[in-house]
Amino acid sequence: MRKMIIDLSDGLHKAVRHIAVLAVCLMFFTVMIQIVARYVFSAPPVWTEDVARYAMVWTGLLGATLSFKTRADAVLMESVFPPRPHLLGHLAEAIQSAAVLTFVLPVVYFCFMGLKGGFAKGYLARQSGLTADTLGIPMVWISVSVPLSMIIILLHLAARWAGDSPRGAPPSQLD
Amino acid sequence: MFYVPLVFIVLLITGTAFAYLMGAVSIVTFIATDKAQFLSVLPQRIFAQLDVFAFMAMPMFILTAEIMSRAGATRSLIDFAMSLVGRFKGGLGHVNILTSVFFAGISGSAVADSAALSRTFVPEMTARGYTPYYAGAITAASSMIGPIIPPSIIMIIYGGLTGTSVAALFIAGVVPGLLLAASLMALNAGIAVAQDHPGGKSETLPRFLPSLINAAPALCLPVIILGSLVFGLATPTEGSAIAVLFALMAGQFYKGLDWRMIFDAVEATAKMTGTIFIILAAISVLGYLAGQLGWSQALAGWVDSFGLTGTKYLFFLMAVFLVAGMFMDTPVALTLLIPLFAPQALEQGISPIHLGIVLCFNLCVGLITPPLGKCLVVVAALTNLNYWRLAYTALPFIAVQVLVLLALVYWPSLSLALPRLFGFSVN
Amino acid sequence: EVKIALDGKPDMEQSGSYNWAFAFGNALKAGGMETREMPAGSVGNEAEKFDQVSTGLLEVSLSDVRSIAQVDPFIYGVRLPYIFDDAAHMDRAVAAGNVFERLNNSLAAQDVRVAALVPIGPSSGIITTTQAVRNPADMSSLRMRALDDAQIAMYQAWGSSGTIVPWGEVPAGLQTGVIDGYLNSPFVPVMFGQTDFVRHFSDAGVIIPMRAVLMSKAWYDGLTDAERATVDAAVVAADAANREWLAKASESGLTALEEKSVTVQRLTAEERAVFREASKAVYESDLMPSADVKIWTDLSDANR
Ligand code: NA
Ligand code: NA
Repeated sequence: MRKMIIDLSDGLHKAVRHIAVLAVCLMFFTVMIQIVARYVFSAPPVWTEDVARYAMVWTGLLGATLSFKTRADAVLMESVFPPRPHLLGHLAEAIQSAAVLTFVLPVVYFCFMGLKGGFAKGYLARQSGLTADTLGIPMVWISVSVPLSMIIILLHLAARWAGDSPRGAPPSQLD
Repeated sequence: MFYVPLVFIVLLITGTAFAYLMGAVSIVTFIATDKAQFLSVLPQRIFAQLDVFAFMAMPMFILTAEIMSRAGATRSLIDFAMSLVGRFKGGLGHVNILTSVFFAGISGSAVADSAALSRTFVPEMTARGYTPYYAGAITAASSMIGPIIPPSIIMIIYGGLTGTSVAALFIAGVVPGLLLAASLMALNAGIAVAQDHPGGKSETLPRFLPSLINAAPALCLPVIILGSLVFGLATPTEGSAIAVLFALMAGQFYKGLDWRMIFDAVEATAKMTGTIFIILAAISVLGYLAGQLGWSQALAGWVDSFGLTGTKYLFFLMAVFLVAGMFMDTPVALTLLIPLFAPQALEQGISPIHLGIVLCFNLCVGLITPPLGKCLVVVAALTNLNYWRLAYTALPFIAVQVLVLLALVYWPSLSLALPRLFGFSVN
Repeated sequence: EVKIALDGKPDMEQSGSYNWAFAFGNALKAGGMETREMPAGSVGNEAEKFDQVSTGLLEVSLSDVRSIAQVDPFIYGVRLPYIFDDAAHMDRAVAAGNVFERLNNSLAAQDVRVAALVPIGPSSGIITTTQAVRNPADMSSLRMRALDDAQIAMYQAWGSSGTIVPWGEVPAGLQTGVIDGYLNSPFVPVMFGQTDFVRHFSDAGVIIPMRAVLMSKAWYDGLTDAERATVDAAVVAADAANREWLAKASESGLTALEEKSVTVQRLTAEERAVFREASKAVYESDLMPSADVKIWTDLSDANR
């Protein structure tokens, strides 16, 4: 069971790495198309900006799962407790996980369920009634990135408890 | 309500990642204030706050820097800086600073600058008779030029959060960045005389022309980015895509790129974007909470009650951000504080571009101030120096940076003259 | 508590939508209902406002008409160039065509209803940096800022050209010459401090810039009969207050520009007709089915 969860988490991680790379490439190529269309054909198509922006949202949300899996997320303060297997280390990890669940579970829940009207009034159901402006496709194909990434994060969290400990990744350098 | 701060403290001391800490605390606050029904907006809120035009430039500039550093462009910049200022007293200190100016043009991150340059400069400077602590301190201090001179990740975040033109912010950062470099060089020159640092005609220097040619692709990048913005040829997003394309070509010029390197660079980009996006997602929840509970108006009233207006308010903000920068990562502090404090500043007629420059500059000072000076941490870790002694050695540089910051606050035109000149509306 | 999400600054002087919201809120209060103005941005952007009205977390929102268009593009009829001569013409056409009823049928699936269409300012004119414009030919050498493909097509139909520029880049674009002008309400150059480089305003009356007042259907349907009557009466009162403000603003908008030494071209009905004829070529686009365009043009003609 433990191995199954870790394998699932690893497999998903590998797939997401590739999809995220594709999303970055899609973003790059659409912006290039926009530039070429503007200067070579002097006719900027409107859809390029939307496609690029949606690719960015996919990149960022899938990237958030990569960041979570490799423990590259920014912390305000290192834990004051000794690391696992010390009992306090387990406690600290449990509290961290509780924070992840507190943030992620309501988001996932309300993707599928509405305040009133249950499943039919959840976020995804509401979005399926809307059309992306310039693309003419239902918004739900873009907004589904939110629950998808959050569910993947939950899976990676489960894998953590099943004993998954990826190699220490270099921290991100954004500042 | 009383247990909300308790939750915050518990999550803080257990080392919970900032995004999940902030997200969880916000959600607990929704429940504590009987607004749990508003949790149903979360998915839409998160999506809408990430789906922002201005953020698009961020992944591409991260990618540009990833490609350029993987291709080994850094060495050419060091050589070129060496050929320009290596001959002066305290020469390697000047070279260190000037390299950061050049590096700033290909990277939007100070920590990346510290990481890339400390392993080269600290041993080299130590070998020529500088103390390793001075070498480390000047490396960390000068890395702050990175996010001030465009491109800049934190200015993109600021632009996205406040709806300010990223192009104008980029152009506005040029003069402050150069001013900072000049001030640091002046300090280095003074210390070089006082402590009799090496340098002078005896140094063997790389020849000017070959090193210029070698550095040219990396030097061209900021020129292309800025040029396209200044002449309105491209939006920052388009400029960032051109930068990626150019970095791919420059990469061939340097070590050469293979598919593996490009894949790694792109993957690292996606992950870094994810790190900031999950923070933005959590902050969007906090921002919504602040809107529902009227925090921004309450804060405005509180600030009004002290009669803080205009430059006075700006100085007050500087104090808040300086302290925040000492304890938090720059993007973290930025995303957390901007939604709370920026609206009043803008309400009072402070230019959003001026505000962006001084706030970003301010938070960057925090990168070399203890207790959490991230650039100091990186330099100390990579060169096996003692963190606190390094921080102590950096004190004069911190002082100069604060002086430059005060000048930027006091004279808005240092930031605004250039964007005005190129036709950007600054208010 | 009735939360009213505003779309901009609470400015009685220059904002038509705030005049509406203010009158609406006052009428509700007079009818014994509690109200709360939510400052622009405090409940999120357009997509978020729509979503919160849809879930019933927000009762009333001054929203972009695009919010409706993502459910029913029929609303884009109000943005066809020269479809209405003025707000009164629009009101007559909208009433005659039962437009609200039709839109509310489509919006019902999202638990949203539209209660009013609110002009936010005088009709859009042509704002330019170099060339004063009195007829389409004056624009032949100009490159205009466009919002979307439809606007590019309109400029082309006028014999001019357009390029899509985001709003944030407009001031820089005007000064660097990337664009020579754009279309907007006369208040806009003054409000955004562009009068240093904007030289001309042509009172061409191209479209009426407006917001749609969206209401949570669940909230509205859940009101008692007396409360619903109060809300309906408040909408009527707010519409009246807005149109009264608009009548004054139509002239004060132009004089405000002249005070900032922007020359104003006041076009005659004949001169506007030239623009109107040229614009008809672009009514057919992929924004809206032709059948819908026909409904709008018929409504417009029958109620002129
Ligand atoms: Na930079
Ligand atoms: Na340096």
